[in-house]
Amino acid sequence: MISTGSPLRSDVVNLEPQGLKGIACRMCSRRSFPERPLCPHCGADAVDNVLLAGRGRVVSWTVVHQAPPPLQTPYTLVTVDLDDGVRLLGAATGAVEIDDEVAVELFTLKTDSSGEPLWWYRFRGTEENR
Amino acid sequence: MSETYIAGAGMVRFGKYPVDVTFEKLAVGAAREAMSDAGVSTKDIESVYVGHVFGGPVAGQRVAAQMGLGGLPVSNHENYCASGATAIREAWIAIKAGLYDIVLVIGAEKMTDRVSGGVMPDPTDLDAINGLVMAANHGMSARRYMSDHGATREQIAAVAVKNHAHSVHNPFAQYQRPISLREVLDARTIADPLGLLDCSPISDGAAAVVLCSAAGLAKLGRSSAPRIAGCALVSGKIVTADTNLNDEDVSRRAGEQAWDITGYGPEDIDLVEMHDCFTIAEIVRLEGLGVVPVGEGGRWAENGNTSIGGKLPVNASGGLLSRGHPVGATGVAQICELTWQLTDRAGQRQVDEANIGLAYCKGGTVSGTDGGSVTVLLVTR
Repeated sequence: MISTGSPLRSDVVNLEPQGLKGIACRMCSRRSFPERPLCPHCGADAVDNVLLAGRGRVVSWTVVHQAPPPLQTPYTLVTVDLDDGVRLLGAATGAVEIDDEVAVELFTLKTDSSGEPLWWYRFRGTEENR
Repeated sequence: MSETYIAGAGMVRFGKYPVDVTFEKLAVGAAREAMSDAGVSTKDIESVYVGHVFGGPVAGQRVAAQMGLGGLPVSNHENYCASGATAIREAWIAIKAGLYDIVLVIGAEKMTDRVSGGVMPDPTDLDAINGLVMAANHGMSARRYMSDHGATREQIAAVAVKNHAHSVHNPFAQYQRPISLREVLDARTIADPLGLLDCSPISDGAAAVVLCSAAGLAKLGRSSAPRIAGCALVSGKIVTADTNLNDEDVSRRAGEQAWDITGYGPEDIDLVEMHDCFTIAEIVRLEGLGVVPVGEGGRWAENGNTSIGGKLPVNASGGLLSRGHPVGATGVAQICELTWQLTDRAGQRQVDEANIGLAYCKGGTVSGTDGGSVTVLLVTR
């Protein structure tokens, strides 16, 4: 349960239930990330807001050792194919390998001016890989 | 519609310059060299096209005002690392449309006092929130490429060794000393498996060309000059799951547009200036274009196929890895190199029988897509 704070971006993160926001296009049937008014595949405005699959597979990963401030290194980035056909990038916590199963989890990336948490997403390896 | 010719080319050496060597100073320096090479004076120039990313508002007009070109139509072109090539394409379109006979195109960038730690997407792009430095995309690309094709870390590193060997003979290159495979492999990690020498540097510099129509060429008393056969420009599309990470559809589409415009095909290309912002990028983009078989690019770098004297010389100039990468200048610098190669003026880095050259740039990333902008320019004798 997330009892305080808000999403860092309301088009990306859903707090209740927890997950990633996206759209499903009624014209081309494809899903995409994040939530937006037009389908990025075909441009149609007939789209339904959906909660995207909470699990996926690692396409590739890297550990970043140099980045401009205020980013703090090292950190792991992964490209993930979600189970509902959406590909996206995110940070990962813990070690991952190509083809590992990962789950979406929410975490506090930073706080707003009044100290309330701002929630963002990242990926974590699942039990299946251990 | 008129053909478009490259009447002159000029650069200032890429590198790291002090604060008092401004964007304007670099741009004017390259422009003067190109105009001198073309034998044109300020009164001959009808329009000015300037490619840059970090030059700030109306940078092109600031440059024009420094060199007696004030009053002319001046436009600024931003497509991230494809900005310079995009400026050339706009000039090519205007000449083909019959608007102008002689124009000046400048690509310039002063990065070292504005950028540190690596370039990133725009802050509003989702990938920037996740900390996607450009090197990270290519680290993921390299890992997947090695996994899919059995390519070795050494084969990927061979691209840096080759391009540094080439620019030993390029007086405009930021780096003019050879490096060993060991140096590439032992360099500190940036985004693993890629290290410092797999990455193009943050650079200052400028490059310029004078482009003209057939009438413009006649006006300059010239009977021949390299010809721009065509300029392709595409943008990235949303990528869905189950697409190979190195599919390079965006490169394939750019290549196909270039073949359509020019009537040439991958088998006609004698040399390539490839956007090797990272070692692995040279490999997968050559494959995406269709000039190197998929999965073979690493071996081609290792066995000398893409060296000067090899089957398909790539980055005789040293490329972005070793000539340097002032982002807005790169696309124009590629065309300077092809101009010199196609007029047999490339000195000790001259490619034999260089008749048809291809220059490829890829600029920027957009979250969820296979890229920002990709240009493919073909130049012939």
